[in-house]
Amino acid sequence: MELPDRPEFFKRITFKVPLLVAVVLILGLGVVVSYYLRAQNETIRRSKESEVMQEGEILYTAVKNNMLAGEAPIAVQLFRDFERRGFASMIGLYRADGVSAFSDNKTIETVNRNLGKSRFMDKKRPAELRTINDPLFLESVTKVEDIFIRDTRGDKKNVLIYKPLLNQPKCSGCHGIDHAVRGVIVISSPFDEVYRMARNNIIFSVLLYVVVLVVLTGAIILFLRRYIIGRILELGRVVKGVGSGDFVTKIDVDSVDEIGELGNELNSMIDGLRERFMLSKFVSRSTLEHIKGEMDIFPGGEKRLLTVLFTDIRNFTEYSENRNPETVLEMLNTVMSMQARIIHKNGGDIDKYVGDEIMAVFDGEDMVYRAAKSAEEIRREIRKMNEASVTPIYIGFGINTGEMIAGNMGSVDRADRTVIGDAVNLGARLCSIAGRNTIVLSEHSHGHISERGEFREQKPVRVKGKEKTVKIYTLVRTL
Amino acid sequence: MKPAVFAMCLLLPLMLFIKCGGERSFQIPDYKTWNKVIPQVLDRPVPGHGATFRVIYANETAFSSEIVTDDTGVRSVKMKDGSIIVKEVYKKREDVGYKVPDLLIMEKRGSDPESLNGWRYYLKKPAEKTVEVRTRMCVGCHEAANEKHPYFDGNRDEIFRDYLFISIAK
Repeated sequence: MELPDRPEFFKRITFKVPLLVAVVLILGLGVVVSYYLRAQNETIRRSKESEVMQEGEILYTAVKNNMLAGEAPIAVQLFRDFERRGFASMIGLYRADGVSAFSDNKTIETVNRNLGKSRFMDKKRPAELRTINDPLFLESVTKVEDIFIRDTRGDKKNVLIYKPLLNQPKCSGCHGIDHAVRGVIVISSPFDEVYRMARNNIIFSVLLYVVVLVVLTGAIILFLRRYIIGRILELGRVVKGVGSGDFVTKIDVDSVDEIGELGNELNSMIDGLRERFMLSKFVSRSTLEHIKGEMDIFPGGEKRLLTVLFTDIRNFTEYSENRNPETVLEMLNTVMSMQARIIHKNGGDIDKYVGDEIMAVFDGEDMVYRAAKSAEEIRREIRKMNEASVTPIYIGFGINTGEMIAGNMGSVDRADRTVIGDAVNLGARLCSIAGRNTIVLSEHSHGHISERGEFREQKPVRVKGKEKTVKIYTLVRTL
Repeated sequence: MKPAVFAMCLLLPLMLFIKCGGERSFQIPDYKTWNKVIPQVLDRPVPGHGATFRVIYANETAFSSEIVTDDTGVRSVKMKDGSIIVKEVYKKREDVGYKVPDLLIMEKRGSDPESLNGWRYYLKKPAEKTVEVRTRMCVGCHEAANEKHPYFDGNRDEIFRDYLFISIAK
């Protein structure tokens, strides 16, 4: 499947890995922090609520026992004390109809009526009447159920508990049997502090999350870049250099981990490649092409139409007589390199060097013309070199075209990729009879490019191995 | 691990959790074969029941409960786990034994953390499902049974009666 086009940066491991790390940490830490934050805030809230409920239960028990027959004034005093002490929590007792208890004479009148005597005196100055109209208060009375309300809507957050006080059997003597609930204890406790704690908790946790996230992400990314990504990139850089022909730069292996082992393996591979690269300079291009993709090399060949070009330095002995070996070798290398460069440029393949002689093979379209062109260019170059030299150098050229056997010659263990045959031998013979800076072509080669150059027909010559004379041509210039 | 096995491993505890989280069901026992706590029909109006007529049954476990005397000589009633008290509540005296009454049931489950003072309370109205009563309605009155009260012997000695107004323990 083809990937959609994206900017190069997004495809790189230096982007993907840090992104993955960041995403994993953001999500992972985020989930953990939010879970614990939520759990902790829930615990704080539940703990406070539980505390308020416990307080309510204690108060309920206290009030229930203070409301024994004839002991109502104790309960009145208890609630009055609660009010005077100014607790943060509001604690009150209300009748089932929602009116604050002990604020008027209604209950006293009921009790006196049920007892059939004036057991309690009416209040002379009824207290201020407070009324609760909350439907949940009514629900608490009708269902005889504790109701817990978490009121977090306004600025003042609080929890509210309605606890119905039952008309127990022991109370029914005074209060009658027509109702199950005598009153409702109301406890309202501020919850702002809990919310403030929860909010601070959230702020602190989020800040901590961000700091930990940044530090962890940074540390992990730095670690990855330093110890993994950086080293992988270094491996890639060295391998890329090898691809460009740099067999000198090696991987600096400074660890024994997997990447270190890989570095060692790559270094060994680079050494091997360098050896093979150096070896490749000692074999022809056709040999290199041939062995590409071949699993094994077997002796054998095929008959093909090819052109051979032979060159030979004519006065090498004369040149080397009065010079030291270094100078001679330098000249030889210069001339051979120049020839090799020109032959390769024209699509030829140097089959072998034999002393100061070169055997090159040309194949394919225009092979004869490219061989002649190579010879002509070499001749031009050698003339230029001679202008600056005390002792001139001369080269003879022989070009022949014909069917030759191209293949692997030798044994299974040691073989040469080369061409052999009469046509090759004739090319060599033509080179040997060529004069100084003379390019000799066989009749066959000339026939291929007679219209593409200026030639001079020479007197037929007799060459070794041929009974008949051979027609030859010399190249004046190519067109 | 295969995905199906992995999914099962995840889902199984969840299913168990959902199952365990359900409301506890209570089967109404065949209480008519049990003995009555008191042979008379209770007709005294009481808060919560009002002017109703009540017949109370208890199972054998309840009747086999014992009165315990501690080292200081204080006696108390400890009802055995599994004790069940069924209170039939009729609106009219002539309905007693003829009409299907409301049933108020107490089941002793001392070690049950969900119990209210060691008891679980249920209400069964005719043609309705049994519901557990977790409000203050039942326990609110029964918690006063350990004090002096106006019913039966009145618990003059104020002994601990395990939240029952009348002692049926031996």
